[in-house]
Amino acid sequence: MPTPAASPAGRAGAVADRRIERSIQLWMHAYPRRWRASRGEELVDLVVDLAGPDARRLGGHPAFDLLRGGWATRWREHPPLHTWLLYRILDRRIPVRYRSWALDDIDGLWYPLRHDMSNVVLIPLLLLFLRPWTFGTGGLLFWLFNVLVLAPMLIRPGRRRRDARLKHVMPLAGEPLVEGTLLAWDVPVARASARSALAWVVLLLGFTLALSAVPPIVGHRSVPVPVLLVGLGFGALGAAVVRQRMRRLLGQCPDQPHRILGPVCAAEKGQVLLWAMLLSVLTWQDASSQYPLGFSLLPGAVALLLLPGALVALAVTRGTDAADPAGRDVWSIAVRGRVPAVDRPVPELRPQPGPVVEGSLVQLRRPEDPRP
Amino acid sequence: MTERAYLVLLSLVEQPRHGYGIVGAVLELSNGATKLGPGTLYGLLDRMVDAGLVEAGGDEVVDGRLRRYYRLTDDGSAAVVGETARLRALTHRAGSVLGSSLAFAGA
Repeated sequence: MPTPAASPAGRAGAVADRRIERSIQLWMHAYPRRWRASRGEELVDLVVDLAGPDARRLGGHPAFDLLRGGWATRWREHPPLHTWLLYRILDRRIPVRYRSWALDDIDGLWYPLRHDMSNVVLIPLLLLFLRPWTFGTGGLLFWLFNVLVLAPMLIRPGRRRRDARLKHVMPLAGEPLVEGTLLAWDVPVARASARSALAWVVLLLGFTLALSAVPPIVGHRSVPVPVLLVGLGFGALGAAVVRQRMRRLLGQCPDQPHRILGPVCAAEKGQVLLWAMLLSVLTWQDASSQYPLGFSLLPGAVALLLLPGALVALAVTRGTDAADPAGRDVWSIAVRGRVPAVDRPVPELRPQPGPVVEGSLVQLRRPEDPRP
Repeated sequence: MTERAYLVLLSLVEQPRHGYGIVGAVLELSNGATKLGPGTLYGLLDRMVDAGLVEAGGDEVVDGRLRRYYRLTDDGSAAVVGETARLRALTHRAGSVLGSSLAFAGA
């Protein structure tokens, strides 16, 4: 290895100014995520060296150069149109050379929406024809369509991503195996703890219930008192059943060796927020439409039924000295009246550790794995 | 092969270099005419690595900075030799054309 040429910053012997590094990292977002992960540090150090020891922020020309280089890299690594359409619309397996691109795509924030691109592209068309701002039936249809399109973001997005990684990124049996190849490994499943999850459930149910009261108040419509009383009665009955089941079964929960318990993660909090926004839209539509169909009342009725039980479950889990169960355990006990099953490990892509014997091939892991 | 790509390959003939070293060598080889930006350099390096002309030759941390060295492969060496021969032949033909033209103008 030759002696490296001294750099201006190196000669000064100073640690690079954190401000210029942050400036570079901001502009470097033009590069794909995987590129930044593998080469980002190297690029930052080069730009710092080229900028000189006194630079505190990136100048216009180097910033434009990074922007251009990043987008050129994205363009170069993007699959051609027909491959992209087959992958995006028909979920066809991506060719080997675009796996890195697919991994970035799947890990992206908006992947669940991009995955259903064929539905999303209809939104502008419907916007033109259904005229949602008129608050009529067309508007209602528009918002319902949006709810259906957004549903993939709300219903188990983590599972969709995991399945997509296994389908598009994992190599097929028989492909060459080298160090760093992403393979499916059995890993513990991540679950939200009951204390954390129930707090968010109670928050969402309370918000839903409060929202459902808006259309009757704004529209000066009355909700039959007997209906409210029946709802409250069933809710209270459900709460009593939940309390009895949890006291009886909570202590019988099995050990979970394949589980990692944690608080509700940011993505799940985002889902709660998204649900709250959708419910708000339904309420707004109901309150302002000439043809209220009562769609905001249905979630309100569901919240009325579930909220007492959720409150009781939260009180029981917080009151017990036993280990915090998962939210899924509480659901199993409270709704199904059964002791929760032991979680099975889930397949997740992890890099193959080295060293790997030369000439090794990827083995068929399970019968259901994709074959070459 | 573009002039910038040729200069990058040429800068790696004598020894493996890291990014900053390549920028400096290209500046020197081009007599100050070509100053590579970081985005341009890494775009060229990515394409050359994909084409098998250049490969990563090890990492080193100097003054807390990561230095990744790049070196020519056999294909890269052949490419730079071939391009140099092509440029030499072009220069020769250009000299012939300019020589006869100048001779005609002088007559």
